[in-house]
This record gives sequence, C-alpha cells and structure tokens, in this order.
Amino acid sequence: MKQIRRILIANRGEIAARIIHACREEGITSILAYSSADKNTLPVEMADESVCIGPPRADRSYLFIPSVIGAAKGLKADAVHPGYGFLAENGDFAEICEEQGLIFIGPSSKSIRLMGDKAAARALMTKIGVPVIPGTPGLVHSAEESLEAAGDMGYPVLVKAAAGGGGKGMRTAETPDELAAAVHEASEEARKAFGSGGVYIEKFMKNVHHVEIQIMADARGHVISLGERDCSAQRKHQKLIEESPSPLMTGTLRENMGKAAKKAARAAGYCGAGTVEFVVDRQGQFYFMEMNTRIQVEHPVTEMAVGTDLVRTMIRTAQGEPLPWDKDLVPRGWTIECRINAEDPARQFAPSPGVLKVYEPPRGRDLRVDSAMKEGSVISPFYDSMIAKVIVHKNSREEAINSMEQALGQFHIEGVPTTIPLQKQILSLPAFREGRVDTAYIETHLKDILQNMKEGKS
Amino acid sequence: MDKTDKEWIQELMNKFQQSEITKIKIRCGEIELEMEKEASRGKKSSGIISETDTDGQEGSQNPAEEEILSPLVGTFYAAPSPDEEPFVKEGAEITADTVVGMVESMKVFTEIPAGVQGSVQKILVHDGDFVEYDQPLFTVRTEQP
Repeated sequence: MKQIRRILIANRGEIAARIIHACREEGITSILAYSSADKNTLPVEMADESVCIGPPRADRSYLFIPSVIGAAKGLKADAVHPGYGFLAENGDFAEICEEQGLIFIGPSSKSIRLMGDKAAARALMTKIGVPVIPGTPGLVHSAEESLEAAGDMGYPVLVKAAAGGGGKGMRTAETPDELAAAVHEASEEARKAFGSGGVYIEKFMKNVHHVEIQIMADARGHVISLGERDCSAQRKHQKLIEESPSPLMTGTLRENMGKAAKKAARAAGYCGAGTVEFVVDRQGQFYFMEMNTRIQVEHPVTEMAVGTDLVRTMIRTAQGEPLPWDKDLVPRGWTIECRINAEDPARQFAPSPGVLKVYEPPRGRDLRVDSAMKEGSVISPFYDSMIAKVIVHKNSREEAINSMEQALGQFHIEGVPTTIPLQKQILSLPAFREGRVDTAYIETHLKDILQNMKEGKS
Repeated sequence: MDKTDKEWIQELMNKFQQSEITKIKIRCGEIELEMEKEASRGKKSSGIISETDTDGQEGSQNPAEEEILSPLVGTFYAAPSPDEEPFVKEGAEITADTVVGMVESMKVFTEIPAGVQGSVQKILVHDGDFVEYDQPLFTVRTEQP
C-alpha cells in the first residue's frame, strides 16, 4: 500500500475546491494545476501549492496530457485527481499516469476504456444479464443500416456516440427524415469533443426516469451500492435537479438495481467511485444506459443522503485501502440538489460570462453549497458556466423541496443572469411536487415554465 | 452622435490604448468620455511575451525592458546538453529567432525562441529548474537607454 502524500488536481472550479477540502481532511498536500485564465480563482488561493500549466484554451492546458503529467512529475506529486470532465474519463491519460508511477485516483485505464466505449459497455451488460435499452448491438456504419435498425425498434430513437458523455454526442430523431441529420450531428459532435465519431442507435424511452446508482469499489474487488439519485429533471440531456431517493423507488427495486450496478462494476474490474445510469419506466423495469467512471457533479446528493465523503473514500481506495463498509448503504430522509449556472433561461440558456458583483450564498442547517465563487469572481467564457450547487437534506421530500425553495430565495447573485428563477419554477411545478417529472417533462413544458418564470408566478 | 463622432471616439480609444497614459477624461460639447486602463509593462510581442502580473509593483521603470516567458510547464534547460555552453549568457545580443533555452515535459524538449530583439539583461531561472507556463525566464533590454 502506497501512502498518498501529494495530489495534483487536474481540474478547476467547484470540483477542484471540493478535492482540496478532501485533501486537507486527509492531511494530504493539494497541488492545483490551472490555466492562466484561472489564475485569480478561489481554488488557486485555497490549494497548498499551484502551478500554471497553460493558456486558457482547455486543449492546451486542462486537456493537454504532457503539461498535466509534467506538472505532476515536476512537483513530485504521487497521485492525480482528475475530478469530472476534462481528462477524468480519458483512458490514455489514466494509462500514462500508471506508466509514470502516478496513482490515478479513479479506476484503471482498462475499466475506463471498457465503459467509455458505450457500445462495448452495452454488449458487456447484455452478456452478464443486465437489461439494456433496446438498440443496435454495436455501431451503425451506413444510412441504410441506421434506417433499418431505427425502423425495427420504432421512432423516436436516440443516436448516441460510443465515445460520448456528459450529454455530448447525443441526438434524437422523431422520424426517418430526421435520422440522417441526427446521426451526422451526434457523430461530428463526438468527433470534436472525444476524437471518435462512431454512433449506435437506441430506442428513445418515453415516460421514464433517469435513476443512477452510486457504487464504490476497492482494489480487492469488494463493491457496494450507496443508493440512487433521480436526475430526471433535465434539459437537453443536462441535469438540472438531482434527488435521493428517487420518487419512484421501492425497497425491492433499489435492491435489484443495486445488484445490477454492482454486477456491472465487477464485470469492468472496477475500483473507486462510479455511477451506473439506468432509465426506469412506470412499471419499475430498469434498463442500463451507461457507466460513468468518475466522480459525478451530483455526488454531494449521495454524500448527504448516506452521510459519507465520497472524495475522501476515492483517495483511500486509490492507495489500496479496503472500503469502510461491508454492506450497501441506503439513503436516509430526502436530499435534493439544484445546479446554478450562469445562463440566461430567457435567452435560450445563453452562457453568460461576467463578473459576480454580488455573491451571497444561502446558509443554514442541512444545507450545503459547493462552489468556487466569491464576490468579484469571474465566470470565464472559456469553461462551463456553473456557479454553484445547492444541496439540502431533510426528513421528507416535501420539507426538502420547501427548504430548497427557501435556500434559492436567499441566494443573492448580481452581475450575471442565472438559472435560479428557472429552478424555483421547476420546484413549484405540481408534476415535480408529485414526483412525476420524467426525463422529457422539462423540455416538453419549457415554454410554459419560461412564461411563468417571466411573469414571476410561483 | 453621428458617424464622425464614433470614428473620432474609436481613434481616441486606439491612441489611448497605445499610449502610456492610464486614465483620461475628455469633455467636448455633449460628449463626455472617460477611459481607464491598467499600466502596461513593456510592449507586447510574439505570443510568449506578455504583460506579466508583477503583483502590486508599479509599471516598469524602464519601458524598454521585456520578459521572455515560459511557453509551457516543465523543466528548464539553459543548454542543449549538459556538456555544452548555455544557449545565451547575460549580456548576449539576441534576435526574435534566437533560441534562449528549452523546456522539457514528458521527455519532449521544446525550444524557446526569444521572440524579441535586444540584449539579455538577467537570467531569472537556473538550469534544471521546474518552471510553469508564463513564468518569466529572462529579462531583455530592447533599446539603448
């Protein structure tokens, strides 16, 4: 077992701040690798050490493997935490870390590659008996093949890039006419973002919830489930609100989904924190979508729901420690998270970079705000527009929703438009209150939601 | 405001940008214009030379001095190999194309062109030092005083 003493954090924003906190609590030196655009950000201030690795463009800094590795080696880090996004699910990066004697805080490059190829992952799940969404067994190679497959499974269909993730490289086609464009766009987007444009086709599941299982595994092959997160409130495959438990969860369903998720992790030889995403229909049937081999944006939901620290546990399992639990964890009470972005819902969600003239996050019991912002912080045009994540934990769903409404009401931001008004509107929807918001709901009702938002209705 | 006014303001802005003045207030008829900028330190040239953050230091006393910044993070080498003479010494006359050092990252050596013409005034790092992106490596005197 190799004791980790110095971790290079290859990320920025709130997740960098989150990892710095975890390092501090573990007595580990945090070294933040940042781009010149992020020089004056809070994580650079917070980290024990920091190093500028390149210019603002991510492909010359946060995504540029030689500079990240060079910085880690030069500053004698013994481990690298990739956070989420950027290099977090890059098998080559994990492999280079392994070769360079750096502990990659995450699964092996082999597990990343296996699950990173969404088409291969589907095939693996079918083999081990985990139900998958009906779809093509592998990649589609021609227009005729796409049309035939989509016709067989019935429209609408979802075109997905095998290398996709984070909502990128995904398009729906409602009719055969839309299919060719959907294939082209999904493929091109994935080629640009991930360097590979292969796509497969899945049936577009209607009236389903997005329910994902958080798993944690150690190097000895011990895997446990930490319960679910329901992330059905989405817009364009971008999650807006996440909660645990899922409104449609039952004890039996959780047990069965947990079993399937653990089976998936074992089949991938998994180690560390991972998420197995499923869709669940009204009858309680669940289907594997994909496995994310990283810590996720919404991990605080699980941390508050089961009362643990996933990032610290990641560090510990990465240095070879066994999991601290011997059985599955079940969410207690109700936990909800809202993502607050610097986007203008009234203007097609245009990213709105700018300076936070006022930044006053809400405070309170059972309330957590994960952010790397303070008054005067700049929302940079170079990266994603997240300002903060607000998480509340209460005894019941109703209390949690009310408490979230209060928290958002107290969140005072000036200088850039934010998604707070939209989030408030969603929380007030009868469908949300009743736990009926499925993955298509927000998109389908967006016009009305935005109209009510404009009129200040609640 | 007509087109001529706009052009006049645009021209003023350009001149202000190029000048050493950091703050200016102009009133002309109905038009009131106020411009402010950070003090520049040295001229910009060649991508790797840039305004560096000198953390509270006032603008450079000598405008004819520039810094050569590291183009990437890694280990700085002053000479092509351990047995050879350094690329440049203090006082050396250089042109924009002169290689002044190398940065190594993952066994890839990247030459650093000076990007500026003048004489090397001070070498700010040592052979084998770990340097970060944009770190000043050399100061260069670009004009005779």
